[in-house]
Amino acid sequence: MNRIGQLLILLSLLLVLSPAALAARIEISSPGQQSIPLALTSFLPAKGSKTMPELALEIRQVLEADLDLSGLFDLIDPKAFLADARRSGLLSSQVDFAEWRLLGAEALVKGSYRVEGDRVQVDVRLFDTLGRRMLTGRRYAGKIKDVRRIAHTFADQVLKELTEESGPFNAKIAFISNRSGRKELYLSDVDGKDVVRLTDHRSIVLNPDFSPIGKELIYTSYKNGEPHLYRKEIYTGKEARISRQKGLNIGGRYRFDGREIALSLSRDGNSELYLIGASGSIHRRLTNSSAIDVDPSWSPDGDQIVFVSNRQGNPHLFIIDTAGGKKIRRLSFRGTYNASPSWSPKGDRILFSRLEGNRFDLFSIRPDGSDEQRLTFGAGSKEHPRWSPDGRFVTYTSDQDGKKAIFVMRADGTGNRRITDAGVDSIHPVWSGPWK
Amino acid sequence: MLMRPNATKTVRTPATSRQPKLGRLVVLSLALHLLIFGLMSGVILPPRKEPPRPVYRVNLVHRPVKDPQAGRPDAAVSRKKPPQKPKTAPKAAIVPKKAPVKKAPVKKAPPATKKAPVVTKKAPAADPGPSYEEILSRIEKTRPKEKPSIDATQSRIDELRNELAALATSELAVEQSTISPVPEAPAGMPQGRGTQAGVSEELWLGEHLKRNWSLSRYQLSRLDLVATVKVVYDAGGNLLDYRFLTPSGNRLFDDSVKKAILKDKKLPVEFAGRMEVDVEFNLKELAER
Repeated sequence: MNRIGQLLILLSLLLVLSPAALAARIEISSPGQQSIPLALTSFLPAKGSKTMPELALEIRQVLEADLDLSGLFDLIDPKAFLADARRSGLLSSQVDFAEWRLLGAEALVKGSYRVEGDRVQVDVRLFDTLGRRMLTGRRYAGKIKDVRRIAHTFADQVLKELTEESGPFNAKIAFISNRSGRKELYLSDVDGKDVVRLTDHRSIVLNPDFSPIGKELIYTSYKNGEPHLYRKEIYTGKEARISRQKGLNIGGRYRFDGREIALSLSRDGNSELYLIGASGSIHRRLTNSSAIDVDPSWSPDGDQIVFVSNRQGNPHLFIIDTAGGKKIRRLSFRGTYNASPSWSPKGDRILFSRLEGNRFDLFSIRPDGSDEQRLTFGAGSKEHPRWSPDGRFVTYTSDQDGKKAIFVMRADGTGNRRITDAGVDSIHPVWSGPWK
Repeated sequence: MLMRPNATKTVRTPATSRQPKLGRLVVLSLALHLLIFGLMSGVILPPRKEPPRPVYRVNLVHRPVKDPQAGRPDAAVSRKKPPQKPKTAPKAAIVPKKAPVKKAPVKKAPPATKKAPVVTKKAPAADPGPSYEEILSRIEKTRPKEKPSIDATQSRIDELRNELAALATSELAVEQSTISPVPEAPAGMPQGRGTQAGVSEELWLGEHLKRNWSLSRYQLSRLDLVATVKVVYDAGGNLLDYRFLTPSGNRLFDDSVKKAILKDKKLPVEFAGRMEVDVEFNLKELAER
């Protein structure tokens, strides 16, 4: 190669490798702030309205608790709030966004209320302080006693705006408690407030489950001396016994469309899984083994059921196809006692409790048996996990504070908090769908 | 004996015959050692003083910064303010102004020779009488004081609250960002344009954008999202342009990326020249957890 050729190659190499020719590229592999700084102001009375500070405080507290549980936000200390927090204007043009940005807030919730007699009108807005615009706003009207529900509803709206999926806070949690001396069925908000007793069987009530199409619950009760399956309409109070097969009628779980119920019956002497209609008629027998098969939980598409069986020795999780051949496969292999499975509404994970040492802890696993994760640690047994309808939260029972109580937490095991009184036993929680 | 005739015979070669005796060698060695000692100790030659080299302690925990001497972009303020001292001197000269206003009527003949060095050189000039401003201030004092309106008071309270909160916020930010495990240690290169240990404009920009990027994992149902954005800044750190080369397709993710870029349209630093960078935003670190 002659010299000119060598020179050309050298020049082209220099050109290619020169910094100017290399396009600078940066990779950012995680956000620096993994929560949204949110300012939640106190709600102010609208012009001409009666001032009710306790009402404003209640709305704010409910919203704050819901938004905190969501894990999305880093709530800014109200002590740092400036003058705009005391201005009642809810239009974008009336908000001093620069002031909120000074405090580092990227999202802002402001609201006002108007009280007339026993009725209240609440206006709430969520603002984007960087974009200087309103993201979502709502006006709610109702009775003063409904303000908690109004706050839960707006918390759901905030989650819908920032995650494209509504939150599960305007819902109910049903659970079993012995606060009256007997194990009865109760209903509360998702933060444990407004507790209402639904049954007065004066025996033992167990294992409730919400109907997906309406405000109904099914549960097992020893009301008539035997563990039969009942259904109750919450608002009318109507109750019906829908399965009274000989032996156990336990662990009833609605299919996603509410047309079938999976449960365990021991009519032939051994506990087996069955599918029954909403009226109680037996549709199919799913399992047939000498082992105990209990705790069914549907996949969201209704094609599979995860359940607990000791057919291979210790209690483990198994999945059965409900559509065709009733094919059964084992899901869990670790531990000596796996129980109370609950299939995620999104279908991607299954919650369950496992005996670790001398106490139960909560785990989740993919339906194919991979990626098992432990969700809870520390003192006390954690059992009976159930998903929120959006699959982002979990409610469960724990005795970490002494008596068994109902807890809620995020699906990754963080943010757990007790929602029922510590002085009485409360078990078997279940999270309803949106409570309209 | 006939087989090894040279075994016991000493052969004197020309080299061995020229070897000095042991005593001479010892003397020579001593002389050389003394010479070296003399040179090193400064007896013969003056000692060479090297200027002490600066010691740079590199804090590997800190994020890379573009201009280390200026501090990190969010922590440029030093809590100590020694340079402020000279500025306070003129204020001290102003303070005596108040004293003459009150004492001027009392003093009949101020001894200029005594006060001149203490107050200012202008002190003798005050002798002709009170100035126009002083007269005005006296007139103002004689007027009945009006009560400030409630609105004015409230607005003043608001202003003070704002100032207080802003001060608390800025102090908190300074406190959180300036704490260093190595106090007083210069971090990086003295010129502030270091190229070692990863200090570069691109890295700085990456860290700055990362700090501006806020997104919660709970906002997303999947963590395999990637968006690449071309950002262009001028030498002054002003954002000239940005455009998505490959959006992630997720509105929330792309919005958060956009906000991270737009949060600072004017960066707190300057670059060597026009800065054009492709920035890939992804969630690899979150997915690994």
